[in-house]
Amino acid sequence: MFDSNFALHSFPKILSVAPTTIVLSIIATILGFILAVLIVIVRERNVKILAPIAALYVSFIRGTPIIVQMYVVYYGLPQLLVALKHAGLDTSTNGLPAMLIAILAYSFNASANISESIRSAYHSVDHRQYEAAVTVGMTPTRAMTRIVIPQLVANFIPNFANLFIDLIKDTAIVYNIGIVEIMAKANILSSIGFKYLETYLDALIIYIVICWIFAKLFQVGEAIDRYHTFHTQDSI
Amino acid sequence: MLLELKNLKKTFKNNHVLKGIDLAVKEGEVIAIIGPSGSGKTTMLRNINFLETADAGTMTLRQKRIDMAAPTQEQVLWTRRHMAMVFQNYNLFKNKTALENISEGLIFGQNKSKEEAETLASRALDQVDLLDKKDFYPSQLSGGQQQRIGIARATVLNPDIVLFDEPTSALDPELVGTVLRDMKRLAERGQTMIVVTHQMAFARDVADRVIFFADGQIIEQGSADDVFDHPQHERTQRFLSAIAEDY
Amino acid sequence: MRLTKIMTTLLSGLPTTLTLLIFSFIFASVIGVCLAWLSLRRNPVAKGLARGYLGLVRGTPPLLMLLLAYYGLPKLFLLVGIDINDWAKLLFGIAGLSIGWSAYLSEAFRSAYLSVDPGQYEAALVVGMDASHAFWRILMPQTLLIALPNVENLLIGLVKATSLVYVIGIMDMYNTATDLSNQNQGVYQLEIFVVLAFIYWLVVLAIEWGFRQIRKDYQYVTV
Repeated sequence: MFDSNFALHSFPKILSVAPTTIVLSIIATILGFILAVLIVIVRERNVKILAPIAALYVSFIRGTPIIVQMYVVYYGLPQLLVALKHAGLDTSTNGLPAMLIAILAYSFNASANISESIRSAYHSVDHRQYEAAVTVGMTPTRAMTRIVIPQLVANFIPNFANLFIDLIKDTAIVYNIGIVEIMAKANILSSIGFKYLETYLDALIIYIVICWIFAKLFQVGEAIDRYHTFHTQDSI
Repeated sequence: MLLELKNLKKTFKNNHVLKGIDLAVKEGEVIAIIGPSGSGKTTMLRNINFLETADAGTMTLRQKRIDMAAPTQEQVLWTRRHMAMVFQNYNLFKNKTALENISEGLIFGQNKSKEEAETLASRALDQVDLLDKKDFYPSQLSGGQQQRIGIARATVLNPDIVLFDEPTSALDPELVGTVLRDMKRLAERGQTMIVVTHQMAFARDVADRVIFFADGQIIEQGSADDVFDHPQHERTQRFLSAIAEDY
Repeated sequence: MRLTKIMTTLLSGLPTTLTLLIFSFIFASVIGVCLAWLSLRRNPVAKGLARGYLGLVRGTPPLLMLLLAYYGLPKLFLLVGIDINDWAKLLFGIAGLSIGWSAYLSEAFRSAYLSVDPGQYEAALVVGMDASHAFWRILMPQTLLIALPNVENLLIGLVKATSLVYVIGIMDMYNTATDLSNQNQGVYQLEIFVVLAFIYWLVVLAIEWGFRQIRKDYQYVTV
């Protein structure tokens, strides 16, 4: 009933594409983070016109499934490039690599979630910390970088870890646009032998281990950061 | 005697918080317990109504003897039904209105009907002059108002004894007076009270007996005049002169 | 009007999406409460059980959870002699989503319960309530209020996760959209997915509005 031999045999094959999942997640998170910082600055400084647009963007991204976002980019990006070409820009519209589409879609997705997380970490820093920094003569920028941001980071890491791990799990749908990552490989191997449970269990184990490793890494990172920021060891 | 404690002991880890307390309380008596923080005053109150369980000691309440180190569930509930407590941080139920805060114990602790409980609760709110706030939630009330409702919540249960755990310590200075006034009224009505407090004026004016507590023991006790004006023990003198600088 | 056609076609999948959402949320909450209760026991076996389940489920992509429910549950049930192969796909969809979300919800409930002010429980005991009244009248309502923002986020996440049931062939709103986009030989694909995105967004905005109303009702209860 359960072909453990097949499961065992498939495992290394599925594991071999795990780097694709991880690389996609990391690149999208980094790009998303940069975009998120911009969004946070725009929204916290209440920049005219841009702030409400950013708020709408975040609401939209957070209100729609990632798979729908992915297809909007998948079908939308080529059309955008065609339009740009008509406008005289030199863009190539042929053969957009699937990986590029996935990275774009997941970066947008990550930017909305990360920006909300940064904002809540920022609001959780006691406002009087900033006031105290300014009253001892720091410039507003220094007060932010020396006092507020270090405290914000400690609050932000656990949420960021969750978002990153959620993103890893969310990448399990990019096989739909032809990227061969963990889920895709499991599907391919399954369809050869018509044995589904075996390869899905392999994939399950790989995902759980990856998520666990990253969760631990972030925990250690948080502990180190807390130690450097507050010189306490309470969450180690 | 209404309440008698014998040899009450409590240890946290290696820290002897209560080192064998003996205390007898007469009906109608108002006892003020003073002393430095960390001396075990609050712990004693919490052991009396079993929010914490003592390591040793017996309690006799209304002729009923209870082993304080191993009370049965019925004894715990029975004791709490005969006592009430007012907390330092008020601890009003945040999800209940002022009126509900008072009626809750009547309905679910004393099995009174909702109508009867609400009538009694309204009367209790009136006694602390807060009937107009009956539908307000704790977050809409000042600390002083919350604590006066805390007092109403305790007294409405018609308890034999009310335990006060530093009832004014968390209050802004200008709000202390209203709470003390309500407590004084209560004392004048003959309510038996044990009050842990830093308000020396209250202890002096209202208490029948002042107990000085330090290092988990009763160091000295007597009338307010005895303890404040003629302290016998060196530890008491030091404490009183230290706080005299603050006042 | 092609836009109206897209709209009406996509909306025909909405009832399935909402059915998945509501039932999964109910089951996940029930399982989540039980898990939270287990993980708050002093009993190490109960704790271990809850933590094991959590660790397993939280590292699993929802898509994979649906596949495992679809292919795995029938085999698991056959082991104890029950044949569930003929169950409707919808039930497997609900099962997969419920298993996944129960873990997240249990964490939300557990951490909310632990952050209720302990003084509230003491005050309940002191006015003479027994432990069970103190729990149901005081602790439980406050726990729910504290958990509310997390529960809202999880419910929104669940709305989005329902789109993954295409993988076991359920015709929800998302699957209806892919179906339509394949039928048209890919002519209005972008339009279809943009409209789809807006419908999901509206569902989420409606949920956010609902939670705002609840918060407004309890604005003076600052737990």
